[in-house]
Amino acid sequence: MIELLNLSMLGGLAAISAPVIIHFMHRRRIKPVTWAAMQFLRAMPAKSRRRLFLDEWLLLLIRSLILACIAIALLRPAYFASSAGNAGRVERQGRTGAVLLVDDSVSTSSGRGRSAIESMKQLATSYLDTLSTGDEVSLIRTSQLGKATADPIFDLEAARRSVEAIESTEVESDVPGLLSAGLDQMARHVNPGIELVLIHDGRKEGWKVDDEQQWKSLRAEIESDPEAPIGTRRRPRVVMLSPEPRPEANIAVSRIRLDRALIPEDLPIEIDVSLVHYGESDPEEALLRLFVDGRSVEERPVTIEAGETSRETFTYTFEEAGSHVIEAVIEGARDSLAADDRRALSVEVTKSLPVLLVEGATGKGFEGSLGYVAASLDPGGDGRGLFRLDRTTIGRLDDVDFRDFRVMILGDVPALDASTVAKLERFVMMGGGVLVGLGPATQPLLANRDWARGSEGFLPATLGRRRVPPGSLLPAEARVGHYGMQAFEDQATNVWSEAKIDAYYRLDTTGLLGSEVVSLLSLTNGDPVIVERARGRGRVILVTTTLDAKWSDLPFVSAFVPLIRGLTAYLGSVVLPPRNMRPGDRITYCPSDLESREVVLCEDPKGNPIVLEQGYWEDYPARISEPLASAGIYRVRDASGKNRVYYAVNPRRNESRLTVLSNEDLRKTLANVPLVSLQQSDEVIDVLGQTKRPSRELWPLLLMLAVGLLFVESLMTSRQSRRELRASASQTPESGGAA
Amino acid sequence: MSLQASVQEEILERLGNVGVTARQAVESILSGRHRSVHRGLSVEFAGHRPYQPGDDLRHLDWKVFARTDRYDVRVYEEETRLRATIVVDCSGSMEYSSGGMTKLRYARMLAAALGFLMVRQKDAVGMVLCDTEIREHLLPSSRMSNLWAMLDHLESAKPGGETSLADVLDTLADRCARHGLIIIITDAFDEVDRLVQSLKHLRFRKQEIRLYQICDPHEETFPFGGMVEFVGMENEPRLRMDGDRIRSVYQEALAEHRRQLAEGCHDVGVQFEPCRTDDDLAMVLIRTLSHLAVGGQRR
Repeated sequence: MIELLNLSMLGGLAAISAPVIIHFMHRRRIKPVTWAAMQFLRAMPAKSRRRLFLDEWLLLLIRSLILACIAIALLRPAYFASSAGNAGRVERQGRTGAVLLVDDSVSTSSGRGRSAIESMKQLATSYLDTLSTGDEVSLIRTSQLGKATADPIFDLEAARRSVEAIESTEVESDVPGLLSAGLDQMARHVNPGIELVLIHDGRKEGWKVDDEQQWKSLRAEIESDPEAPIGTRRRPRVVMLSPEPRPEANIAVSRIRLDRALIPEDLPIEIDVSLVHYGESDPEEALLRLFVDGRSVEERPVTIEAGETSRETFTYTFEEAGSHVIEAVIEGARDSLAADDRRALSVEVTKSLPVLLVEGATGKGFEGSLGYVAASLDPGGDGRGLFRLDRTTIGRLDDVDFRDFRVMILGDVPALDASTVAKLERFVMMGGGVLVGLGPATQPLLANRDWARGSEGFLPATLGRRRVPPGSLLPAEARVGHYGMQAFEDQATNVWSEAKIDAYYRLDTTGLLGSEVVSLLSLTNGDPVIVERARGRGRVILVTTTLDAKWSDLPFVSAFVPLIRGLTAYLGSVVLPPRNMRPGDRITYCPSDLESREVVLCEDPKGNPIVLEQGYWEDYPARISEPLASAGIYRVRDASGKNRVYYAVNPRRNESRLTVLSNEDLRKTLANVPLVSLQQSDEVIDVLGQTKRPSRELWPLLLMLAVGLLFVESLMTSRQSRRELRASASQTPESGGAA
Repeated sequence: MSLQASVQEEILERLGNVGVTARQAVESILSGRHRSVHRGLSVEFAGHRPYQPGDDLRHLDWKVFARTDRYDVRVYEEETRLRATIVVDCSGSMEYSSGGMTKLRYARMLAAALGFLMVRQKDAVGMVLCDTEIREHLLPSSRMSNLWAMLDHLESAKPGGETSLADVLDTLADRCARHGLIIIITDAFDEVDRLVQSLKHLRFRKQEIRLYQICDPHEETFPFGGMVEFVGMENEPRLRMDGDRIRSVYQEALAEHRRQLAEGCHDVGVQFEPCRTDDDLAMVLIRTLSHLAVGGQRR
């Protein structure tokens, strides 16, 4: 069958009508002439007029055909032979435009002996061997997604060199993203045959199998015309090249977790390191070493059962406030993926956390709305503890610069003016923490209108009616795994049994609870007492009862102090800009004003310098790097070396699983898309190697035909011109007289 | 300006300017060419004229030669009287003009000039105006009044009707009882075979014939480009044609027609003279008459 490959030039066919239009316009301008020698004109049809008629129309036909040939040639018609060929063998149609989509994610470095990326490169090279001169190649790698892609090239040798230069990176795999980029790249190819060649390591991670919507959209784009021949622009052939995946044993440091969100100096903290053995082989023995700020602080042998998770706890005391980095490294394991054998965590050690207490009712000591809170945070009242408190009232809030504090606690505050609410919202959006305690002075109407504003304000939820249960209710269930509630996780007994809640506000958390609003503590009747909601970069925690003794006995139970300290530390633990990142993120360093004028140095994990450009982060002057390609620890310091910040870049944990992509996964993702799946180089050559091309483009033939017709037209025209010239020469006065 | 005046002014005066040679040529042609068939019956002496090669030596006046040492021949009334009939085609096609003179006007002037020349030579000149049939027929006479009448008819002749010269010539052949000269002035846009047949008929009736075919310059050059609607002058159906395309074919057809006509005339002994309306009439006369002189003497 014949297909037009460049339909955008379809309008050019109108050019065929040009000679006809000119012919008829010419005919329309008829001049009447009174004529005597009619007998010669009348005699003409009998002998010559017919010839003239034929000549005229033949010329018209030839001229139209010339234009038609050129116009059709611009449409690039191609003849496609029937695809009925050898079974299993792919017959390409016309010249091929190959879009190589190479997954160079972190998992491709897996493999003991020969890595997956090496096998993938060999498959890619074999595929390139099946192409021939005139075919074009594009190369898109996972690590380059989001960046500008290069134009397709016809130089297959250069394409081979590009493939050879591919190395594994630390980025996360994203197969749908690769295919989407490949579909976009198709438009830049000029050859009629299109092949999307997905070259990956055969691992399931990065396929996003459960994202049905995205795969449905991709399938629709690939199969935009299900009736079109496979391998054409409207229905590209999808070729999947992946080395035969094998179950691999892989041990990974899956997580580093501290026992608290806010790390004080000179206080021992527990560092939990989680190790995972993804595999089905024998238990693995390895050495786990812990590094702090690049110095090895402890090491211990570990044995991890196949398919199990192991947790090792280290204790360490940071003696100096500021930025630090913890790194856990596995050594000596029979491991197939080295990239996940180490994991780092950047932490900020805090000397003191500035907290602003805003009380509805003022007082000293335990008096006032936040008297018990103040006593819990700063028992000595001397400001030498972790929390540096500043107590104030609503009336004096206008004079307070919120940027001097990291946490703000509102206790039984009746109302806030609009400017204060705006400042508070800005404070939260920029990473600040707010703890709100309600009470008798709280005006729910005002709070809902100004603080909650539906779900747009800083208050986590809309306040309902104040509830005074007939009998006191007890807190029943605390959230597990939350930094703010971490003090209660290992408690064997119910620490809340002594607390009685006499009154509280019910919350309207319809549609929010469980998603945006998290309940940290609830009553026996199920109503939440403490809820949290993230707002912008900050967090807000709402206590639906009083933080003093007016509505509850909470201040009198032993759990109150760790609760308030835990929540406050959690709220104040946000470190911005983020220092724990993923490959592809950018380092954002906000120096002080003084530092911003100094030289800022940044080094990658190998100690190579990285350029930080001047920029802004949330209106603050900042130094920002290019997207980071490698995982590891990055160091930023000023010229004096006094200020130093660590940034930890870790690959995603799910890349460590090395799950084999199953046929079921393929069925769920690519579904009915015709797929040529090849795992061996020989197979690639056998299936895709072309001994001959059954199809060809017809435009060269058409152009040759046009040239031939042009030659004929020239001959006819010149013959006619010569005849006219001869005739007119013979009719000059002298010769006319002689005749 | 009347035909008479214009012929006198434009043709005869110019012929005068051409010089004695032309006059002599004309006179010698006319005198030496047409000998009387009634020799000896009417011998009224009319005068002398210079001897021209071809003259019968019996008519040489030896007395004059003896007195003046000049070769003069005696001229008799009957001997020099040529009976010529000028046939002028007045069909519709003769009205064609590409901007200058119409073919009919050119024919009138040619006829008038010839008439003047012949009457001045004491020859009898008659005239036939025709299209599909004879419209006017003046019998030949050497009187000047006959010439004036001929000029009047020529001047009042209106073009019209279709060309059927062959029929006219056949009719004329039947009316001609004596030897004479027939001068046909036409565009000859007729069937060549029939025309030649009619000429043959006339020749059979002992008539000397000269055929002037008059064409307009455009009829030869055919300078029409693009699509043209040709409107016939003799009620032919209109024809739409591309002038550029048919020019060469038309010119070939015209040349072929003229070649056939020339050959036909040659075969039957008719002098064929093609001319164009932009040709100088005097020069045409000189060329034609010179040609006639040579041809006549050879004959």
